[in-house]
Parts: sequence; structure tokens; C-alpha cells
Amino acid sequence: MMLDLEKVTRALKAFAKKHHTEFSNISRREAQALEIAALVLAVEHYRRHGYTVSTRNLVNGTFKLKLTARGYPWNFSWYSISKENRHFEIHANLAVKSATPLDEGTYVVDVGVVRSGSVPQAELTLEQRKSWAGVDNDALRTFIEAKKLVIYPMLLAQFFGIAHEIMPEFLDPSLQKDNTGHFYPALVSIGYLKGTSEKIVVGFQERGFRLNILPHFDTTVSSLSRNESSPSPFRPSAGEEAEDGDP
Amino acid sequence: MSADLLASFVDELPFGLRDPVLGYARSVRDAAPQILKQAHVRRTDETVDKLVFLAGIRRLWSIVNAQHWMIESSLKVLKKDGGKEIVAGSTKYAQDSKDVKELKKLRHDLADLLNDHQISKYIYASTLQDVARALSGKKA
Repeated sequence: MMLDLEKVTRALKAFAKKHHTEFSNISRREAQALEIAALVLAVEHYRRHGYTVSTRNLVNGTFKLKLTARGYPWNFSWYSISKENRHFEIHANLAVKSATPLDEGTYVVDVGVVRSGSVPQAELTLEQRKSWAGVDNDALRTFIEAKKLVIYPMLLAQFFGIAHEIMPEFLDPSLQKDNTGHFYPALVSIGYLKGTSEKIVVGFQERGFRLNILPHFDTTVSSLSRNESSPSPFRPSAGEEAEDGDP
Repeated sequence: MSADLLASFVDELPFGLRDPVLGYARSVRDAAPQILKQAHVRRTDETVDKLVFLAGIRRLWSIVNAQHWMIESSLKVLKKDGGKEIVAGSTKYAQDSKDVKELKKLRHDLADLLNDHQISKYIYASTLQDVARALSGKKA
């Protein structure tokens, strides 16, 4: 059948007018949806790699999502993942300490995957809770930064900087740390690769940096929804994992 | 011509959705020669026009479908542990919440429209190369 673009356009215009409020709500929720999506992608990555996933710290049956850097992680819900004798936690907007002992930098990542038990729970004393600055760096296994932005070169440079400060082992394999079985740190964005960004991403790979850069994040999520067993979009892939070591 | 048609449709969308759709379509226009080459499809102005138009519609579908799926996925995991609701700031997501019901209906109605105008196969195709092949009558 011939594709009649004008006819389709008329129908879509009428649809957009009729559903203007719903589309406005989609747009309004986009930043929030991005935070949820980053968390879901992390959870799905491990689920598709054979981990059991469960929720923790529900409040009266409600999963309370940490949307900003404010607040302590023990006041919000999170995910627990397990596979054989490997146990980790996935938290949203998690404060993590710098990888270098030379400074006391603390960075809040949009999604942090950490060793199980490394985030304090409510049993801490008030003083302990007040003095808690973030998860110790050696407990961090990987992270995601989610942006509602076009991926400009400067955004890639900033992401590289974050990886350098909190997970330099993904940039320099000679820095030993057991991140086997975890996805490479990921920058996910609703936007597209702009300017020379695509070449920079290729360059990152050629330089041996183990990073995930995912533009059109929602397209990726939409593709995942079509097939429960399709692979995670995060590297390393199953083949690359076999090279890195058995998870 | 398709750029004008897409822009006229996108003008009806809220401001926050216009650039994601149009920006993506522009990036596909820039990449069209490579996409068509990879798809082994002859490059014509008409094929590029249609590819770009459909890319814009695919992007809109992805935005709606992705929001729907990730909320559904989160609620599904939550349900296994006896939970019912996700609270994100002042927004509550549950199977019977206003936001979730509205999102489900929008997705359903958009899917119906795509189906009624027989463009679903282009929208649900895995890759833009598959879309190009479908436009040229080749198998994906």
C-alpha cells in the first residue's frame, strides 16, 4: 500500500490536539521518567543476566524513589539483586566517595550499584547518620548518569571526568578492582549525539575506555519492552563478559 | 516536503516533545545516506523523505511506549514483593493511578492510530535499516 504522508499527518495532528493534556503530562514527567528508566535499565540488566531481583525498604507497600541528591538513602526504597553467592544493591541518587584518598570528594550518581550491606540502614545512631557522607568507593561496582540533554562533547567530557573520579579502573585496566559481571559505567540520555560526539564515543572505545554511552535512551527502553529475553543494552555483552571473566 | 509535514504535526505537540522528535528526525536525515547504504536500498529523495518522517513518528512512539513500559516493569517487580505503588516526588504510580491509566490509554490509542493507517510495521521495526528495506519493498 502506498504511504500517504499527508493523510497520516492529518490523523496525527488531530490525535495530538485531542490528547494534548496527556502529551503534556508525558513531557512533564520526562525528567522523572528518566530517573525511573535508569533504575529499571540497571535492574533489567541484572535480571537478564540471571540475577534475582527484589525490592527493599518499602514504606507501607510503597516504593519510595529517591529523585534528588537530598535525603539519606535509608529513607528510600531500593533493589536487592542476587545470583549464587553474589549480592548487590541498586540505589537511586546515591552519594559515593571519591576513588582517590587524596581528597574527600563525594559525588551523587543517578544510579549506583554497590556491594550488599554497604549502605547503612535505619539502625544507625543519629550521630552516625549525621556523619555519613556516602558509600565507600571500594563498595561501588558501577553507576549510571541519566541526562535529559542532547549529548554534546562537553557532556561526554563531564561523564569521563565523573568516571575518572569514582571508577578510574574502567578507564585504566591496570587499576585492579573486582567489577567482573557488572556493566560499564553508563551515560544514558533522551537526546542524540551532537556534533563530534559520535566520533568521541568511537574514540573512547579505541582508547580502551570501558564506558556505555546510550543516546535515545527511550528508544532502547522501548525496544526492550518488545522482547523479555533480548540482551541488555549495556556492555559488556555476553561475549565481552567471557573475555573479562566469568560473572 | 516530509520535513514540513512532520513539523506541522510536531507543532501540535507540547513544547517539551517538539525538539526530541524533530531533533531526532534531523539526525536521521543527516545519517540517511549511511542508513540506506547499510540497508542496500537505493537512495532517492522520496525514500529519504519517508524515512525521516517515519523516524520522527518512531521517536514519538518510543517516548510514549518507554514511559509506559518502565513504569509497568517497576510495578511488576514491586508486585512480587507485595508492593503496589511507586512514589516519585509528588507523583504516585500504581495500576489504578490516574497517571498510569492515562498513559496506558494514550499508548493504546496511538498504537490503534498507527495500525489504522498501516504504518505499524515501520514504527515497530527494529532498526532504521529495516524501515528503509520495508519502504523499498524488501524483506527486513
